[in-house]
Amino acid sequence: MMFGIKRNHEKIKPLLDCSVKEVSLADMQEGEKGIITHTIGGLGAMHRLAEMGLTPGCEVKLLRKGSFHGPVEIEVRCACLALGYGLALKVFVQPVKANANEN
Amino acid sequence: MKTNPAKTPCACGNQSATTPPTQKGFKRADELTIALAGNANVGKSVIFNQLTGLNQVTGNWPGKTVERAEGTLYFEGKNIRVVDLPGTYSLSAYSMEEIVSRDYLAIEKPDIIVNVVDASALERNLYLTLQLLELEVPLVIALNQIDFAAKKGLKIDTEKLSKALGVEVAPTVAVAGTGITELLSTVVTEASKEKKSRTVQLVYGKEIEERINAVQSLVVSKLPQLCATYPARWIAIKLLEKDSDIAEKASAIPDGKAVLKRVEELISELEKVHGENSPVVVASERYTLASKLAKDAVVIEAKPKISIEQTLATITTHKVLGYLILAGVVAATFAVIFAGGSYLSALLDQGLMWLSAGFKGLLTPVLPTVAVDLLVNGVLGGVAAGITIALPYIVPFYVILALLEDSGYLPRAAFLMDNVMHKIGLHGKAFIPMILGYGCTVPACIGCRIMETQRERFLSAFVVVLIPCAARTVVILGLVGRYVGLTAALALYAFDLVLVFALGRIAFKVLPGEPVGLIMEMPSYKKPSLKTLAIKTWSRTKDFVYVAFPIIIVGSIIIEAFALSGFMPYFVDAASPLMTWWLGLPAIAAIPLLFGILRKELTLILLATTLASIGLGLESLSAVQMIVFALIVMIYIPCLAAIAALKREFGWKKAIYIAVIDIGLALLIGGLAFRILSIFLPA
Repeated sequence: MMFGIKRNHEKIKPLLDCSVKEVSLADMQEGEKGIITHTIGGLGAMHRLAEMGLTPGCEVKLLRKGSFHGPVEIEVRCACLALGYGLALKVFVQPVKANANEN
Repeated sequence: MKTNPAKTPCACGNQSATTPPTQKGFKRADELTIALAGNANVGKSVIFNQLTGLNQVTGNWPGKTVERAEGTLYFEGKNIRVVDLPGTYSLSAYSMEEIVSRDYLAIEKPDIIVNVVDASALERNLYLTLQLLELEVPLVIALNQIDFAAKKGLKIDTEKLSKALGVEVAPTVAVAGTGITELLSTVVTEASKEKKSRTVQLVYGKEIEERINAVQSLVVSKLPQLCATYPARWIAIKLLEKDSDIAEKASAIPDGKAVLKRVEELISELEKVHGENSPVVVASERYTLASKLAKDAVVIEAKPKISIEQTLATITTHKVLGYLILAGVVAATFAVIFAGGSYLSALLDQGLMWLSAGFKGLLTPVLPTVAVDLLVNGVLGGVAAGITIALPYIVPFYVILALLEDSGYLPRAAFLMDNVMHKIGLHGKAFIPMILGYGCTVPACIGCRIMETQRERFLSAFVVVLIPCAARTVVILGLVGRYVGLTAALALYAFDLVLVFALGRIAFKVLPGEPVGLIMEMPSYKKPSLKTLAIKTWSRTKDFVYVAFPIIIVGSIIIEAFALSGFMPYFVDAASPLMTWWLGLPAIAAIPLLFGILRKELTLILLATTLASIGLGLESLSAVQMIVFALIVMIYIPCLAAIAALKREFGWKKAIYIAVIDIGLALLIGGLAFRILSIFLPA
């Protein structure tokens, strides 16, 4: 319920599995994949994340996490990005089961 | 806002000499301006170097080309001016670079824009391409790094991509120079074509297109002033995106407020439908289109194997190994610079001393003594000061830096240091200028440009000037390290780090504004090429000479004139209470500290000579005095060259601000250290 906007993931609903709980990027495990459901935070941060390709419905893979709440490195849209811990907490994803996506 | 300079509605590519003068004077048929646009780290600067042969700093360091670089070349009978725009991911109002770039494209209207696109990350790169198309600029795509894409198992159907976008696509491998000539011919052919309306129209989703059209017709009827500069559709998209810059420009027009009100209604409709903020909606739409375009054009040939580069990336960002490697890299860098540097510096000093003695001998019979002193000690002394610091310390430092940059190591270091830097309100990228600071403060201040906002840049610069540069290290090691002990010298470094973090934290709390989180592209590791390494080192050294030398020489002359005018004893007298009572130093130490503003390592040499003039040696100083002196040199004022760099980046006011704070701080800490240390280390 951010900024009075009611979230309805009409567009990305078909991509999501309702039985899986969404978590922030910072809570994902290394090597895990997920689909972005939404981002939170100020308009600037949300816009910036979206412009770097982190838009709802997009698949991301968590490559590694830094120690002591360090940044996370993710693969998104064929490129690797480092995201500070604070920003990683603002990106919510629904993890994709590894076997469903591995081939 | 500045009005559009002399824009004629004439849409032909070839303009005769009678067309109104543009900013660059008269434009002729055989002249062509092309602009390079693209994401950071896609080889844009390499293409620029290939085209113009002009030295421009290039690197595997995202977001570094902040200034607009220019060069010229001659091709197929045409004089081509090439403008290298800063590397950006978008054309939003998010950063100054992006506003500058889009205004350049919209207002100065270069003949062709070459959009350099990384073939290995097509989807991400097409995001900017789509925005360039929104801006309705004549475009040619340089599809770069196709070799690297092939390594990742990707092959791109350039025909298909070209058709889908309605833009010519030229594949290139810039580092090897492959495809550059073909790119140029494409550019020249495209520029000579009559401009026609685009055959391909890229459309976004239905909900958003409807609203774009609604705003567009409003913009055309109510804001013709804005439409003279920017395309109406683009203005419509930007308004829907809540672009602050365009909204501001619109509200300055009488009818603008009404337009903005209607736009707001449309935005809230859009946000209701999509459940996201409108800037996110628009970005998503672009990415959806970019993703589709990329999927259609990319043929995945093979599954990428885990390469040695990937293994390297894993090890160097490892939770334990990563930090060990980082420590090793930093230690090795300093070992090389200081071992090699001090040797070379001593050698050069000898040579220059001999040279100045020679000049003195030559000039004395011809000129009055005062003039000889001004020339030899002032001008030649200034040049010598520059050379003895630049050659032995700066050049090797730049070589190593270029190596770290081109290989792709620096972003890994920034990754590792991100949470530490957050403690002082900065993020991982600020670690890069800090590391530069241990070499020389001048490039470090300029390096602060990689930070996103002006606040972050200033905060980084404030911290960076406190990092002991190579020259200050000479004093710390040469005085404290040699006479008091290495432990004491290392303690000074540790103290400096504590100080940097404490002050950084205070500045972070005091300066208004929100800290920005880290978003940084992690480029793949690459083998650095010897050629770019050489070009980079050379152009940076040149840059250093341009920024630092004039001010060092002028400063040398002024201080020499000051010394010759006979004011020195008065100066020492005036400074005496401060020096002896507060700092516990010999009064005469004021002289080396004054000259140290020119070049910090000079303070040590001058301290020795001034002490010698009263029949004492360096070893006559007590341990406390040595430590206090080194402390002051470490903190007191950025040298003139660094002040010049600060002025260039932030203006006089902030440069002086930093200098004054540092002087006050040095005196405060120096005095306290004298009192505290005297308890533990009796003379």
